[in-house]
Amino acid sequence: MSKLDHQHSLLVEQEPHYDQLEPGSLRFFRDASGRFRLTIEADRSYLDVKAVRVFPLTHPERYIAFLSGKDKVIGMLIDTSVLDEASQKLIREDLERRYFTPTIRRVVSLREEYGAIYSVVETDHGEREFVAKGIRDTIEDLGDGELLFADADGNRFRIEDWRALDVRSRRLLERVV
Amino acid sequence: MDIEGQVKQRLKPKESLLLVTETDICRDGRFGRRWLVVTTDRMMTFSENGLPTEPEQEIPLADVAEVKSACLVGQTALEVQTDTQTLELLRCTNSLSEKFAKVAKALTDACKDDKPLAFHLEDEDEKRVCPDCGKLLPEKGSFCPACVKKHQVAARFWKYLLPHWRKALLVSSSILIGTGLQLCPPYLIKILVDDVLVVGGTAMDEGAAQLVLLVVALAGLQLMAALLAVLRGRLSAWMGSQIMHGVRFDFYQAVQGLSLRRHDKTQTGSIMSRLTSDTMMLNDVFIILGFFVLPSVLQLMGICLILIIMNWKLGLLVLLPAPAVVLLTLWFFRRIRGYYHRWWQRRAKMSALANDAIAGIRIVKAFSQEPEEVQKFSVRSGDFCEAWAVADGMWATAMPIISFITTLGTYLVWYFGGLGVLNRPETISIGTLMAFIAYLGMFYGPLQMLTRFSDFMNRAFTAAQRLFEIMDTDQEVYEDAQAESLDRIRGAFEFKDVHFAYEPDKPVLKGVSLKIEAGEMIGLVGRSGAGKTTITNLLCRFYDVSDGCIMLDGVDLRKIRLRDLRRHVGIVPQDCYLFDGTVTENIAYARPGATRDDVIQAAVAANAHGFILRFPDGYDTRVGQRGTRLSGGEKQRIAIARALLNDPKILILDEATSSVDTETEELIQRALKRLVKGRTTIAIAHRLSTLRNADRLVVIDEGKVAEFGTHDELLANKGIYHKLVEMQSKLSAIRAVHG
Repeated sequence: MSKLDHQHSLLVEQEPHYDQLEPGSLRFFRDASGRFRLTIEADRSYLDVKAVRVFPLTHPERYIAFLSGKDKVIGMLIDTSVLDEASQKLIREDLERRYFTPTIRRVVSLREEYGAIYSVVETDHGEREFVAKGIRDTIEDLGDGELLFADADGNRFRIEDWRALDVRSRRLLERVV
Repeated sequence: MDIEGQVKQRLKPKESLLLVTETDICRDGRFGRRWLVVTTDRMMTFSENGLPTEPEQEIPLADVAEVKSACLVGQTALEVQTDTQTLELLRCTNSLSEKFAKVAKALTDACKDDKPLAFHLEDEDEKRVCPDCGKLLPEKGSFCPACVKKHQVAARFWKYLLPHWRKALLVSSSILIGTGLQLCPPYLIKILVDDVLVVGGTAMDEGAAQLVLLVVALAGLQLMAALLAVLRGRLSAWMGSQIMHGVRFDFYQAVQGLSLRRHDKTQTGSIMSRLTSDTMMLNDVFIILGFFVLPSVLQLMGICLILIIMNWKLGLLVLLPAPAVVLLTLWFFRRIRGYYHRWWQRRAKMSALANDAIAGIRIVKAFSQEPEEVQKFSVRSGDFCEAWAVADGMWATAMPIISFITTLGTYLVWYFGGLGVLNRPETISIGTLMAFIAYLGMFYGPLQMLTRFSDFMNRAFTAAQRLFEIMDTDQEVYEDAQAESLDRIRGAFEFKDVHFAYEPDKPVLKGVSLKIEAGEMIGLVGRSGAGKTTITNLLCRFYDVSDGCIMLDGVDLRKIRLRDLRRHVGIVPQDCYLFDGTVTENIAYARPGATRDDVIQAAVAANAHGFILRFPDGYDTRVGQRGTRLSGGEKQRIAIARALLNDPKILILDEATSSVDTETEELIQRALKRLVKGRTTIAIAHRLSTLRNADRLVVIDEGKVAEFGTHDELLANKGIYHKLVEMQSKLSAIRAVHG
């Protein structure tokens, strides 16, 4: 075994799972005052826990990290579905609250005029009218038909696959994508 | 029904209404209307459905300990902390987050510090919606592009055309006369056929004389038309280039004036392509407009007139397919415009990628990613290719079809005109028919020209749109009309509850309050990303504060003329960018008129004199992109000299000694020690030893001032600074052992 390999294996031994948490040791719950808590192995407990997505755009459902109320990293879970139902529900609630990115189901109107984009869209959170500055700053192509819009106020809208939308929406989008 | 009126009916005696304000997210997380109502006793939320009846939530103000606005991703939540629990009051999108942050602050202030509860909210809608057309504004509190454009675009071209009005007049009259000349030949042909050729025989000499006259007239007309075309072409070309020069100048001025916030977001490649290819496009359009389009329009109108006078029935036949052609063309170009835009964008993306990879070629090679970069480029190039093929494919399909439809009129004229000549020669002569066919040839040419013209105009409008987009971008940091001119300053700063965010949903500074005396040296300490550089950015007013204010000698920065402010500030940034030019030019950048003595003095003060002298070309050594490579420390010392040249009252050193070895740092340190005297100095450093001369230290943590005081005071505090010092002394101990 060369010296390099040896060093490499040492490194892996020291930090085998970087900061992955052991799902069995975790308990998520809300305490009496309604605060989101995480207790690990009954030896550590964190208040006001935040669930954050590690890859909010590319892997929103996997890779969930947890921060304490003071924004210190507690650890990460690649797959939360191994947790008990109640914990999963709490995590899902927190994620949905933190990441407000309505998904566009239909584009009602979309016009580009003098560098601004005016649009009305139908999302999973209801209809919304928005305006955004120039195409370049507004639409991010995430690949595979996925698009992310950011409006003038910094609100975000997602399209899962614009090629799978109805004909009219597609035609409207074709001009800007 | 008016919400305010309804709420008032529900108030208890002695209770009065303080605030009724709307949010845009309902309780179930969907977009919709919901209201927050605050009275002297309690706060309540109402939803649209529940409005006339019960509030959704009701919290007595007496229970409230604190109200927080929690910045989430894409929305903000207002949370109420009572003695026993945390409740979520409401949520709003980022469009309203500023308003609710103010609401939260007012409520917290009232509950915590017993300040009287009062809300000073600007009408959000007034800032977000155009008062004229009701459209949402692309920039809060800014202008409405939809309302501006109509008169402005026209006025804009006038603005560039106006200085050349004499030549413009000449061009227009040459167009007018030229078109008139073009219209004569077919009519002469009619006379030639009907009066000379057909009549023939009777008086040979008279006929021959008329023939010669008509042929000479035809040739003369063509010659004059040709000469006018030359004149017109030369003038148009000259004016086109002059006007483009004007546009380019204004565009570049706008680019230089763009706020950093905008520059952060715009790729350099995209600005470059606007500067070069879009202005060229406008130039082309101008020439095409002067050369082809205006004459075409006039020619069309003239031909219509003549045809209808000569024989209106036949004339109408010619015009029959025209509306179809126009409508088809309009429809077609409305569709194709987007494809050309897409094509343009993909080209910009492709060149941006190449730009990026070539600028970072060292990294590419160091990690041997050349094949991957080629692959990435190939994908972009393929996208570009595809967009081009689609756009041009549509073009290639539609144009021949439109062309064919335009020729339909010719067949109609041949048939019906021919019938007339055969059956009723008294209504239509051979000469008239021939003139008709000749005019027809001239009619469809310009019509097709006009259809092509709409393509050029499309490209031109997108080009103009892109140029004007930049020109119209408000300079985010703008000057107050009553900005004060500051000749002399003392250099005392005060930060009053400064909030700032580069992106609306990611606050960097969350209430920084700080007082810096004139002539003091302040060291800024903190984790990376804590907001140290942001503080210096705000001091130079590269960005404006989101909330709170910064005072220089008691005057709000926004009320000081930018040039004056920056004249008094010398900055040594983290990345010391040197321009392509000599050492002297780089040092004298802030004052191109500086004497050689000034330059040398600045270099000596920055401890740069020695190494500059060791260059074979001394102060004339070329540095920057195509010049001699300088080490990090050398660059930094030139940057320090550059900052010192204007003898600024305020000196900002952002990690000025981060990329140098200890010995060089010592040199720079010695230079700095001399320099900070009499100046207000703000220094950022990770190496705490760099800050040993600082009068006071500020520890920034989580966007706030965590600790503020002298070195000894902070050490005694046993806070963050103490920890940092301990850590660094441990590190240097290690270094001492290993070194």
